[in-house]
Amino acid sequence: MQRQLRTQNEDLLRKIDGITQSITTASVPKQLHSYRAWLRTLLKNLRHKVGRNLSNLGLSGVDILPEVLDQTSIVTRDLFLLNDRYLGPLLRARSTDGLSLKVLAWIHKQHPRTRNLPVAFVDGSFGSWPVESSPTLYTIPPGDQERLLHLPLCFHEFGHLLYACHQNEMDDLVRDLQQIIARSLEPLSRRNDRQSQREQQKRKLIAERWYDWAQEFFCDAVGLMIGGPCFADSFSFYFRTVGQDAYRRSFDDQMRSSHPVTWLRVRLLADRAASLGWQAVADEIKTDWQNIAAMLGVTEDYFGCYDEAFLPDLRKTIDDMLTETDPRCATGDEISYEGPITKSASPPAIFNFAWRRLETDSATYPLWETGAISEWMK
Amino acid sequence: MNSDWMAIQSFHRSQELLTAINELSIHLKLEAAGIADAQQTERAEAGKKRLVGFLRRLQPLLESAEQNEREPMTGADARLRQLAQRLAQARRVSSRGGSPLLRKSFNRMIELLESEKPEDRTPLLQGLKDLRRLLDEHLETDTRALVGGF
Repeated sequence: MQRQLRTQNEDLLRKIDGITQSITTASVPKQLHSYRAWLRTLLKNLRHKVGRNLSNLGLSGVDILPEVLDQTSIVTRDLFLLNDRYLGPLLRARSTDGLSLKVLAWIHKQHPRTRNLPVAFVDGSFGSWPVESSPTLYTIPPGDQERLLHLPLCFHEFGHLLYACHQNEMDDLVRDLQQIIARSLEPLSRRNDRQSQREQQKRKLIAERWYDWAQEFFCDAVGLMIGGPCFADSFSFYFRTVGQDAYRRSFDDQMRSSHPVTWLRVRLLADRAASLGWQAVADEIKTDWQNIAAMLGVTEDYFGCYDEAFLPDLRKTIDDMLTETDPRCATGDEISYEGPITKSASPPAIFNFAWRRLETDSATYPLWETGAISEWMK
Repeated sequence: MNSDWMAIQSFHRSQELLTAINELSIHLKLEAAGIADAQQTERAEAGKKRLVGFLRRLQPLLESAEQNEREPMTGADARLRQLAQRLAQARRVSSRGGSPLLRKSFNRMIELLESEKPEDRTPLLQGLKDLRRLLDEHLETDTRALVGGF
């Protein structure tokens, strides 16, 4: 066993050295330099861990093989993850990554807790790997990486990182909301038959599911706060034609999903936009979704997973979560920005401008967007 | 929008906890053998802190899982809830045997971690071993979700 573990750890060392060599010689854009520095530090730490494994294997008279085996597994899994996800953005970096990287780097710079966290992105549907101790890896669909209209959805993903940075306080706030919801679902009297037990199980599932849903609603609110109306436009446009699933899901499907029904998210987004004084976009997205739902023949029904009675507490919880995490708020100037497009213009300014430009004249928008990106990236 | 964020957070949490368990466990064994290592002691102390913090966070979830399965577990993500349920299940099965993690009041495990008494070393090592096994099993789901099956 000792010999096997020694061989395994020696191989890990060779892998670590090989990766270090690859990332050191790779030609990468300036925006990824801090990401590369983090990777090098991580590899150095992994190297130390393997070194300790090897020296522990040399100790006689103490049975620490189970620990060394487990430490070897930890390094092996970290290398799997590095190879599978974290190395790609660096080793496969392209010159066209600049636009998305500019937006992501800007988002991180706006908050004291994320200012020093490097960012990178890979291909995939909008998502993120928000861990405070590692760079945030965002996933952005290839078709949206070089366009302006849907990059505001990264603001939602940033919300997950803010949640992770304030995990304990946020979990406390969400716990209170879950308990309120659980209580409100309780019947006035309880029987002790099978039907009653099934109902109780349903109530438990709903209350537990709200842990994830509360975080998603919070992230939507973060997106709206950072981006302003462009976030609501982008969100609504992106999802409104994906099909019936966005409008209504069975109870079981809702319980399987870490995201609330998208129509409900749009309703809450509209509610918050209106409260921030952005009535036009609030009315627009609400109407759009109602019209499409009517055409699909779908009526609003959450099968007991959501009730209008939750709304005041849900609003209050999201407000408290925003107070706790304190994301940047789009300024009036950014919301009404109409140029000029310079490299120092902020992403919310550019995105709000882009959405107004699209709504004014969608036929000439593509040409305008190409020029705008070119000016902004100078 | 994807929900990988839950798997990656759970993955990192388990990896960190396993590192903490191993560092502390190695330290306790070296100490028992009279092999002093200042750096290992430092890592073990950091690991101990991490484990105590985590077990304190897990404690109310475990109580909820053990006392009333029908009530919702609140204020924790699905993966942490599953871990609490897995531990509760292991404790039910091993109520007459196993380590302090599985056998005694859960608080005893925290006391052992905070204890400096040499006689607490062996039960602590047993508890750490069971916690490691539990986390290793738990981590498989996240590893599969992130990098696929093998």
